[in-house]
Amino acid sequence: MMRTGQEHAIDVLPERCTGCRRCQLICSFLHDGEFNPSRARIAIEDRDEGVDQITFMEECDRCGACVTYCAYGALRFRRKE
Amino acid sequence: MGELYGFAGKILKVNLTTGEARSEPLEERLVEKFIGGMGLAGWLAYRLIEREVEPLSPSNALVFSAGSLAGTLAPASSRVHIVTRSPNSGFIAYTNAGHSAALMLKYAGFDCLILTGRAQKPVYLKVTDDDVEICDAQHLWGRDTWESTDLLRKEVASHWVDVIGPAAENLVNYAIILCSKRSSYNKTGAGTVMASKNLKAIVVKGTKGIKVADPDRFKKLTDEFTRGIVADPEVRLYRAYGGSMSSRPGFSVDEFASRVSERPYACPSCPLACKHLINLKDGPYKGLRYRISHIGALVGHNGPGGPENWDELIKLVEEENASGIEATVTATILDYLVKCYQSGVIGESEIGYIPKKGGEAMRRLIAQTVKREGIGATAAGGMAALIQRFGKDSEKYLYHEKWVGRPLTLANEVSSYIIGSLTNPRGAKAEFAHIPIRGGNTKGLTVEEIRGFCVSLGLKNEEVGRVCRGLDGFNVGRIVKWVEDYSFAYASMGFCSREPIMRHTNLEKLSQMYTAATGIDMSPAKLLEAGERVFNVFKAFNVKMGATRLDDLPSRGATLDPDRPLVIAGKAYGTLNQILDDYYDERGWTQDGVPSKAKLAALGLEDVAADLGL
Repeated sequence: MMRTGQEHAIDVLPERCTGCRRCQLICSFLHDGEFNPSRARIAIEDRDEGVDQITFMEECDRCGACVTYCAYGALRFRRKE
Repeated sequence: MGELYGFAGKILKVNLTTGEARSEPLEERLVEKFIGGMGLAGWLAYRLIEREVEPLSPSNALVFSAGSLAGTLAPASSRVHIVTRSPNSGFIAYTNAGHSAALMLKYAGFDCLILTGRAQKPVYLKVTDDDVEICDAQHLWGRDTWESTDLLRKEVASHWVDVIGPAAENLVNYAIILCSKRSSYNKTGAGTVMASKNLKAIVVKGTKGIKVADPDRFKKLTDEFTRGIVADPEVRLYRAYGGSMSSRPGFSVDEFASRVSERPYACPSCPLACKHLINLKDGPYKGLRYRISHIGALVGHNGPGGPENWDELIKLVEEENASGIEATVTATILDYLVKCYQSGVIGESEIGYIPKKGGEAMRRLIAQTVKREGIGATAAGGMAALIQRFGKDSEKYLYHEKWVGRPLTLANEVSSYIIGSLTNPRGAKAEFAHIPIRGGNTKGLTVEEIRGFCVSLGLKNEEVGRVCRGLDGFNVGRIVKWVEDYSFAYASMGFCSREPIMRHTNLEKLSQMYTAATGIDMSPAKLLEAGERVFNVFKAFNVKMGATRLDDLPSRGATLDPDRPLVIAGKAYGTLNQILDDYYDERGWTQDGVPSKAKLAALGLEDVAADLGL
């Protein structure tokens, strides 16, 4: 289900992230037609001894595919106030 | 040739003697014949490694190959396989990891990396998309894997790092490669081969994309596969404990969850997350914190060495990974030393101390082995070196399959796990005898389930009749052949063998995913035949290196005499040798375990038959 960024924000629950990068894979696949983490609009920074750092790029339109494809509940829609 | 979908499309060849790096196109005909990943690595290694090539000589090739679907969203498809000649066994070594720099290599444009030669001084290989550099690594040599990874990351920023430790540098025969502190290539000494090339590390960053031939269909198929995995009732178990935990005393799952594990983590594309960030909350090693894969298996792998509890195991595994030494062989060797001492085969003076089991004892043996001090100088050569020094009779205290230790007993069951572990070309690798139903082992499956599996592979009625006949409703030797062919196809696509992954797909779905990704028309029958072809290449590698039927039997330390009738729970299964006879017959091999000329020809491997002198 595609949503618009005007209505929703995406919250990150970093403690749930497992670093699987499924969010990056679906993002680049839907937006660029290829599997390419480096082109994803969501960035994951590896951190060995802790929680991976997740940030959204400016280009992200909050389509929400990453929320749907996260198998761990680390991303969540929030309706904008 | 048009675009090769699903693959990056190139092979990177690096000769460390000359420093030459060149790229070659990946031929579609090879992909079609050997699937990709493990299958492709096996074929490339078979062609490159001649019988006179010693494992630690510059001529040995270390071949990395990312699975056909690796790098895509296909669930748990990130496995990269290494194939080389094992310094530990002299036979084929193959091992896989889920977070390897060689996965990143696919995003840099290369499906495979072939390393040959030997650098004059320690180096590391740096790949940034098309830019390939051989860099000085003298400042890293001698440092452990954790520290080396940290230092490399400072030098190369966001590259992924595959690195060896001091065990490999000192040519301990069973050294591992650690991947960005998250995964490892274990068993059979791939790390030792890397060290013999004076190659400390491989660091890669790739920013290219992987396209699939039919995006909509690929997404639909992989979405369905993912939904099956996520809904699996055992997902919770794997995330909490890494899988079915051992019931070994001292290793309670509740304790693991409450004071050992902080949280699970996953390999790329995996919706399961069976790995863990360890964080000991209290006890003697309080604050010990690192990432480790499949801790449940490590309880078993280290079992023969007898670590007493979670604290000792966690401390032990940290040291194993830091020095880059393989757990199962180390634990099996300590078990052997204790038994030899207790039975008077080896004296205290030969070992230097009275051997005993436990975490501290394991760590002492590791330290000695890595430095090649005292008994460690012999242990570094592996089990074969110990037998050579302490005599053939001592082998009865050592259980191995093709010189790889295995903690499971052979005495309690006749199953696909037990037989498939023996027939596996690497040895002691039961996961390729996983039937993709429930727990994977034939033990516990119903006759209907096994028959259903045979039908799903498209076996003819006469073949189903031959396989599904026997004491438990099937012939274990014959079913293992078919499971292996299926598993070799599955693994070559890059998929992980954890049960909650593999039981949510089947041959037809695999063929559909392969075709949607690559555009190559890969029917189920063609895919299964390719799996069989790959298996025969792996076996041919061993035959080329001198393997015989005896190498498919357990070592003398086995509790299973190959000519003793197997009677388990009141059922008489015949002997292990009879089971092996059936297995070879089903494979179309000779009774010495050699693929026949006719079988190789039927698989389009006439050149292999000629190479073997058939």
